[in-house]
Amino acid sequence: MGLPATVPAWARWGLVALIQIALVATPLAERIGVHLAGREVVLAMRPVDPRDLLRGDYVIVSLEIDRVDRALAKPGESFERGDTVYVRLQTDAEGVARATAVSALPPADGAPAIRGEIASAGSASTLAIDYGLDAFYVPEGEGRAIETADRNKLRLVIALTESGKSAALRITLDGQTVAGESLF
Amino acid sequence: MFDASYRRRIEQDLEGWIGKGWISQENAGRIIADIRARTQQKARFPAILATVGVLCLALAVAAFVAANWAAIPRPAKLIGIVAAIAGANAFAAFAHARGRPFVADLATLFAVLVFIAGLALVGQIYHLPQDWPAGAALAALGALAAAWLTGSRGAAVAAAAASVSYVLARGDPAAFAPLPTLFSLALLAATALHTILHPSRLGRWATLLLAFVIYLRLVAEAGYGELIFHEGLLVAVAALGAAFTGLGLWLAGKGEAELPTRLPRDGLLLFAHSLIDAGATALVGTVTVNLIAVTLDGGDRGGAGAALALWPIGIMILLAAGLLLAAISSAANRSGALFVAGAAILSLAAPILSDFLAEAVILHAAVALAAVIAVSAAGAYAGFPHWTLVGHIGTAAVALWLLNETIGSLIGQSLFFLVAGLVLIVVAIWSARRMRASRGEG
Repeated sequence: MGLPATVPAWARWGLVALIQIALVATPLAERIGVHLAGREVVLAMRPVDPRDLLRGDYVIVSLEIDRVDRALAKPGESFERGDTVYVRLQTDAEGVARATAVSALPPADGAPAIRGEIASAGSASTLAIDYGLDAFYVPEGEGRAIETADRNKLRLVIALTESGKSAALRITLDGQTVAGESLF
Repeated sequence: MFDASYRRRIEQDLEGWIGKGWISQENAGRIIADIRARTQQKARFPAILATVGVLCLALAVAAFVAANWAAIPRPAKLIGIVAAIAGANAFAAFAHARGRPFVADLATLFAVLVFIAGLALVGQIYHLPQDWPAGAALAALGALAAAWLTGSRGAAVAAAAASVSYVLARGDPAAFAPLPTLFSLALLAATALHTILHPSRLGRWATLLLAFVIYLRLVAEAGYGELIFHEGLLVAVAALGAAFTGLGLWLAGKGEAELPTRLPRDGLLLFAHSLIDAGATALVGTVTVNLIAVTLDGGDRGGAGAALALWPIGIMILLAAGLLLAAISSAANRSGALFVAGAAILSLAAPILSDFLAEAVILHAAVALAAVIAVSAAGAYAGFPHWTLVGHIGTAAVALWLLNETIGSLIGQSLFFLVAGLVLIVVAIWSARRMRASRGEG
């Protein structure tokens, strides 16, 4: 089974290398697409600072919109754990995007909305939503400074596409970038 | 492809048989030549050092990625990873073409580990979620591609490890998820088949660990709503252990003439023995932990029999029963298979009984002691050294625990051990007489 023994070694291992590089390129291409096609949106956040075994120091990103009031859903609309939802965002006077509605479908009027998955629907008053934005990787040792910063002034800037896909771009404190850069 | 330990035992035995006149020098030479041709020829000590060295190099790459060193631009890191993947695979091809298969295997493993570091780098650059099932799935696919295209045993182990990560990274089990489960089973089939075609002990145990994790995931998904996963865990593991034992016994008993596939006999038999060994480990582990739990928790357990209502456990128990029956009916050494099956069933009964009769602590103590002794004895009778070893360890653990925890009164405990000791001695005397009688008849 597998390739016949007559296939030369350079062809076997060459194919392996191509497959592995293609698999690395797959998430890379997807993320580059979100960065290029998305518009910047500023979200309020609350951080904690642990370490990931393979990817290094990172800041756990806890967003204000991780918890959304159930009252923002349409009357009669209910959600279960694992459901895909779209949280409509509206920028306030400070330039921070706040949740104004949650629905199973994207807004019909094309307003900015971030796509997420219901993490927990058990509470009577709030929905916990996962947007895949729970970690922000920083150079070794730099997470602590972000963790001890004034949480009310920390912001996460994301790229948000029209389809609701998002990607974390940078963390700012008082409008100044403290972590992250753009594409690379 | 045989383990080197099997080759050494055969060579030692052949010397004795030649001395007794049972086999000629010429035939012994033919046997040794055949076995050596099918045994991996590598010096073990340098091989171990080289393997650890390669792992260290891969860890160096991983730590470098994790350090997120800003002095090197990310495009440079990405290009470096791609170059390392291409270079390692090229070196592996070169080594293989030069007739150095072990070096090629190590280089392929290094390429796989660098590839996984590359995925981690992408995750780091784009701040992908910490628990990232998609990343683990990609890692498993890349490792499997290397394993199947090149026959690399190291890549197969990496694939099994990545597959385990995928199952665990899927997060809290809320309900049965058919597509991810099918994908997990496909990964299991791919790694299992590879370890049969290209045998390695580590590959087999990694594959069995993957099977274990997938099964527990299914149990968790089935029991999530009922919140009885913890009570069901011991029954679940014992059922899997019994099924592993049954499958291993059945495969081992089949023999070359009856194998329904074109899979290599050596690889299949080695896999069968790993299944049998893993079964013993699971069974003795659950018996021991169950005894500790029942003596500490007492009646503080969930609804009786609730675990049996979980469909994965029910199916696994039925599968175990069917496989054990099939193994007994097709085994060349039927009495040995019967003994092993009996020990497996007794071990499976221990956590099930404690689910229904939580308060009957003395009964559970007796069943636990009988089960671990049965495993040990079955191993000695049927010729499974791992069963004997694990059974001995289980017996020691159970006996020490029973000494530590007074079951009922001290007088009652004294009587318990007196009865147990006498029963064991009587059974030993009876067994010895039966064996002498059967040897006399033969």
